[in-house]
Amino acid sequence: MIKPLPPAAIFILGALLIPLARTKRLKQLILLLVPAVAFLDLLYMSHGIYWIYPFLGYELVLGKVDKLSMCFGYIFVIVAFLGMIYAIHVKEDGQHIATFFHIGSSLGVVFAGDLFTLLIFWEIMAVSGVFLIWYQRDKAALDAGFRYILVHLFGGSCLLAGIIIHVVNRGAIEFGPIEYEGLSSQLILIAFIINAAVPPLHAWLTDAYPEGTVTGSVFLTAFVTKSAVYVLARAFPGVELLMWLGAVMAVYGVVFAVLENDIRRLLAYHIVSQVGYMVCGVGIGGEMAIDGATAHAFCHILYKALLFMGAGAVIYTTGKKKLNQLEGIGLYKKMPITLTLYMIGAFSISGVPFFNGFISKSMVVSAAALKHEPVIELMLYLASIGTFLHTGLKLPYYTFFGRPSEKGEIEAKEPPFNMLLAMGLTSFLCILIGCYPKILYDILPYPVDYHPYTPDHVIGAIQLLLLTGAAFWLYIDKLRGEPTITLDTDWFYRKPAKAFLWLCDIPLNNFRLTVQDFLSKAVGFLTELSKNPYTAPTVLVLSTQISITKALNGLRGQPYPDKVVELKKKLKGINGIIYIENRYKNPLALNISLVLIFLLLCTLFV
Amino acid sequence: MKKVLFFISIILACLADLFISHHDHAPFWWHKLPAFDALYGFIGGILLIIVAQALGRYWLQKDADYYD
Repeated sequence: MIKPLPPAAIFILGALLIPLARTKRLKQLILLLVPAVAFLDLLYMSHGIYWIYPFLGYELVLGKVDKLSMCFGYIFVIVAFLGMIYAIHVKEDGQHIATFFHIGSSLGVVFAGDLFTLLIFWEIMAVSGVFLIWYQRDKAALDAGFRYILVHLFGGSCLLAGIIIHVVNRGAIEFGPIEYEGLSSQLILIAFIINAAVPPLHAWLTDAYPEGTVTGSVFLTAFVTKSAVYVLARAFPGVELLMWLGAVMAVYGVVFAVLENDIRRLLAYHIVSQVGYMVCGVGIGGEMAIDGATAHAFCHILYKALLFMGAGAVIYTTGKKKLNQLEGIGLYKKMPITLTLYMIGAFSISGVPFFNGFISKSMVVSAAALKHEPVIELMLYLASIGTFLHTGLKLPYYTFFGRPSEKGEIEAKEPPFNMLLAMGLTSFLCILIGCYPKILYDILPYPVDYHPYTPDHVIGAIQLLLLTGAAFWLYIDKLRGEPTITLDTDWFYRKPAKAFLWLCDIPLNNFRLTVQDFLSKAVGFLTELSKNPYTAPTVLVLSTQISITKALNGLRGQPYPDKVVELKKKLKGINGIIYIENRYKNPLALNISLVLIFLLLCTLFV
Repeated sequence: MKKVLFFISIILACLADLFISHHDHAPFWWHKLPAFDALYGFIGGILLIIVAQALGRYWLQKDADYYD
């Protein structure tokens, strides 16, 4: 009997093997074998609670396994394998190690049975993610990475604070449904919705994901937001606030996508929008909505990885990432396979029947309708329109087609075979799940009694998509990429941060220098005085005299008169007198009298 | 030719709504309207573009070196 290991451990141990592989082939073998082994491991894992380790009087649980965590576990490992095929040509070990830590920690979060384990993996996920951005090795990536890590460390601190209050109040660290009331649950919720990129705390995502490496961004899209959806579904199902936040999120993402020029940033806004459906599903609560949110997370990971692979392939072969640079350079002739595979992802995200987005998105929308939330239903529907408008029409049109540019066509070819293979396999899964939704429905947390392929649904979806196409066709010229950036809530920490730096650098720093200068002079003066306490009064009188004479002469316009020289000589003479104990022995009575007078004064006035 | 095909497919999709759909699972009144999805898609699409571009033009869009 094979005993399963925690899947997180498989990836983290796998990461440690990478630098030991001497040859390229062996390294590639490890990269593909680790996700494959992890998948087998998942198949051997049974439902229940295990891998329990005592820690400071509590119990750390690395394996809380049920249908919800298994569903996320499966898709994380599947996308890890597909992403690794896409990234197998990357030579830098560091990138692969960061990726394995990122995947491993996400799996750690998914199977965490207690809050401490959750926190530890949560932080590893943040730190390993930032390296997938920094490996891009340019200034934009470095800056975006720093902002990314700062936001996540803030989120991690909220989580830690929330957990501490929770544990102090409840005395238990099990991770399960958390009642939404009081400071601890609010802090934990804030940490979760930062990772789920819920506006206004979402800007780290659209800021950082487009700056990552071509291969790193594919992994980034899969894990952080979806593990946040998992923890929300585990801890806060049915919290109404999340339903509204999710619906706003879904529309917010598509509105901002209209204005976007960077292809990966446009797709990143659609992550915000799509995760909105999941957060909304969690907020609606109930079996169908949680199933919908889970199914949508599963499908989203596949098609979003595929879309980022497609966009990455364009950036990899052309070096261009803006719509206004890509328009009209005839990429559809040079990269037809990439275009086709990208369009499969685009159809999936847009909810075209027989692609996987259709069978999961409609579940969340139907759950909203069944709960009699008309506004939510219409908002989610509106977000579907925006999704097809940009991911399905605007992005591919202006990336691969567009009006022929004056620059003419450029030299470009299809990306390497491994990238195409990864995209092909992901496309296959998108269509397979779209055509046979039962494969997915069977592993969802609750039994599914939902049929996506009813005539109403299919015809409704076709109408919506066709007429969205008509709207695009009407406004086609207005949707052209413009060389601008769009302000988002990251403005609040990017612009004021500059003012804050200025405040620290100029006024506060000058104040510090003034205080330091004054104090060091005072210390110097006191040192001189304390060399010989008996000459101190004379020294004090002389230095005051020097200062006054200097000042008076300064006023008269005589910078350095003889008197000052004379006084300084005298001062130097006095300073030279060494303290000899016996020379200054005053009558004892005088000292005692002085002390008594001092004490008397104290009693009178205090 | 492409345009004609496009229009025909729109008309077919709207007609299909009249003849094939049952609208028996309709939680809200608009689910019973024929071709509601088509109308919503068209108006929603245009509204999204107009509102977003107005927001961009007058407020949110800045030069690419804004943060430098």
